[in-house]
Amino acid sequence: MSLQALTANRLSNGRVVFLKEDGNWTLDVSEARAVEAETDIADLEGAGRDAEAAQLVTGAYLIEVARTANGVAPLRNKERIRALGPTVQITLNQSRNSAENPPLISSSSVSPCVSPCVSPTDSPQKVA
Amino acid sequence: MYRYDEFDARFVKQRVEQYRGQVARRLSGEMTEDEFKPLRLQNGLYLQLHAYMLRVAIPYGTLNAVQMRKLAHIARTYDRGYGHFTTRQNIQYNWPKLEDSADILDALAEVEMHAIQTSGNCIRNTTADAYAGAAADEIEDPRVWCEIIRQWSTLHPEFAFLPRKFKIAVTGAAQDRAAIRVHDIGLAIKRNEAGEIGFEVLVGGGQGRTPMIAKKIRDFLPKDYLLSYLEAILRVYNMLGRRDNKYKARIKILVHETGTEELTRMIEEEWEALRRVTSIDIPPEEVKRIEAYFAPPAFETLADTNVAFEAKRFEDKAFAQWVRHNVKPHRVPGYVSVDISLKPVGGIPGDATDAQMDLIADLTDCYALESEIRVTHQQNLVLPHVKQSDLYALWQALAAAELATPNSGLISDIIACPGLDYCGLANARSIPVSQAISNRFADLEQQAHIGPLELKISGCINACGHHHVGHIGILGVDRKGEEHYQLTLGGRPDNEAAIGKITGPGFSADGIVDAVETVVRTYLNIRLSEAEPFIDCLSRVGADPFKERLYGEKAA
Repeated sequence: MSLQALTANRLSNGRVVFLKEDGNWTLDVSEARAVEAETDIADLEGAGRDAEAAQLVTGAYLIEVARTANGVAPLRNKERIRALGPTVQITLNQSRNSAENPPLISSSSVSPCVSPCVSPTDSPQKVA
Repeated sequence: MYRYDEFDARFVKQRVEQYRGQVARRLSGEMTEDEFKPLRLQNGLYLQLHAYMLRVAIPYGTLNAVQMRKLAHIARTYDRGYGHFTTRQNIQYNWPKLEDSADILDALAEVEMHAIQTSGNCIRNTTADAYAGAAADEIEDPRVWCEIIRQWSTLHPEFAFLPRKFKIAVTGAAQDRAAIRVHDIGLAIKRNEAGEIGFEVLVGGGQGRTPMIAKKIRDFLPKDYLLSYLEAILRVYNMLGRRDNKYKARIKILVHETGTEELTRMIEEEWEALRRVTSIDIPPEEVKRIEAYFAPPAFETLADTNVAFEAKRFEDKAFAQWVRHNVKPHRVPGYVSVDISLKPVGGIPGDATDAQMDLIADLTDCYALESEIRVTHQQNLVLPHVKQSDLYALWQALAAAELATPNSGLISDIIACPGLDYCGLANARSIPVSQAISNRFADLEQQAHIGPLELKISGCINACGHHHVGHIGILGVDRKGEEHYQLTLGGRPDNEAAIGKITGPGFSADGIVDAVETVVRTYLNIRLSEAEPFIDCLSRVGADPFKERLYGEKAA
């Protein structure tokens, strides 16, 4: 099996979260628990079912990841964007809330979807 | 515009409270996600790539300043300070919390708005010409009938679980600005030889993975019979539309597989049978009641042209440029309709901040009769009734908020879906491509020199960015994990609606921007004059000269 991590959406607010080694959920994919052995993957799936049953998250599923110098990172383009947020500056005319939501990439040409370049838009925290 | 009566207001409030209970039961675990999902979708709440997404209905794209201020308030209070106006004349919020969603719906209900039927296999928001009630070429205001359709289709028990979603568009003008030929039902108000008003009825248009232009099934339907005829169409579709394969479930597939002639016969037969049993057609007095909501504003008697306006246009080149592209003729002398561009150079098509929405509401109160705003399917806004004499002040205020880019109908007036930056269905990003193209053609003089050109981008085959009907269309695909972009030419959404054809092999993300520039340069080289728009030039010469430049001579 390839290296896998478990992701889901936090039920209360929909934010993308990842299961950590300590069994809590984080917004920061780099902190995700990444496993390869079948028994460990089964553990992840079980933890996902438990968290769904506890109304912590919804729609838990496995994603392929790699270990990088910056921690765990999704392999696929779609999952990278899902983990890191939109690749575009949200508005040119910044809104009042914009300070809380810095742009991930601002460019005049199409930037490639990149590995983690900025922190997630709110700090990692436990769901429970 | 239409205002809720007591029944409407009570119903929408009750619906919010019902939903509030459903959310509470979901959060407490009394309800599973499988049980809750259809309920939240019926109230417009999706779960997208990063978070929940709330799609709010703006009936036929018409709203007032009070409602716009409430949309700004929701963006500021419950989201991240912005909203996204869509090709269906709605608005979407990208970051609402489930736990806040009932409060958001409550806030919407305060200003006679909701999110009902913005998802699911039901009849969605009926769309219309954004210049309805103002356009110089209009036969009759289509919003009266859009409102009648809205009331008929909202919670219609027979059509709550159709084979697939169902979209209706209505135009009341000779020039189709509502893209009716790429809707499940397209209605064009027309006058017959006897001078009576009715509808030309088109069925089976649509985009997505199987794009089709709608077929005419009736040249003239007296308008009194609209609801019974729509009911007949929907009944036939509900009975015969495929439910075994979601990719073949839209009515366009039924039209294609059954044949226009046979399907028309079935619809007419159903219509006759329906009318024998009962009449669901709306009584004339009720039509009059609804017409009253759309009565023309109290226009002043003004001269055709305003001297001060003309002087400003002469003095201020930037103002003149904006007037040339973003100001549209009005049926009443001395008035115009104003396009508010949500496409600043390098911006995100359709996005508006809370501050911009508040400003637009304030300007609407100052300068637009009856404080009315329209959302266009091109993801811009329109103030339909503005005095010429107010244009200069309005323009200055809009320009200060980056809302006066003079690019209406030009190459940077790009339709783009949210794409892979937000959408769970997308395969590729649309917004960065649109930004790169907008930046490449940033020179507004150059854009004006290129002339009318509709460029549309979708991040997947579902075609929410209308790429099939773009003069230049771009479709993002996933090719072995990489974003890749197909280029189409020759699509158009208007009276001569056509589906664009793929030019050849696709391009990388950077390559597609160069490819668009190659197409535009080719056009500039071969057009007969500035008076020959891109789409006419393409019709005259075909795609081969463009393919030669894109791929070399062999490709053509």
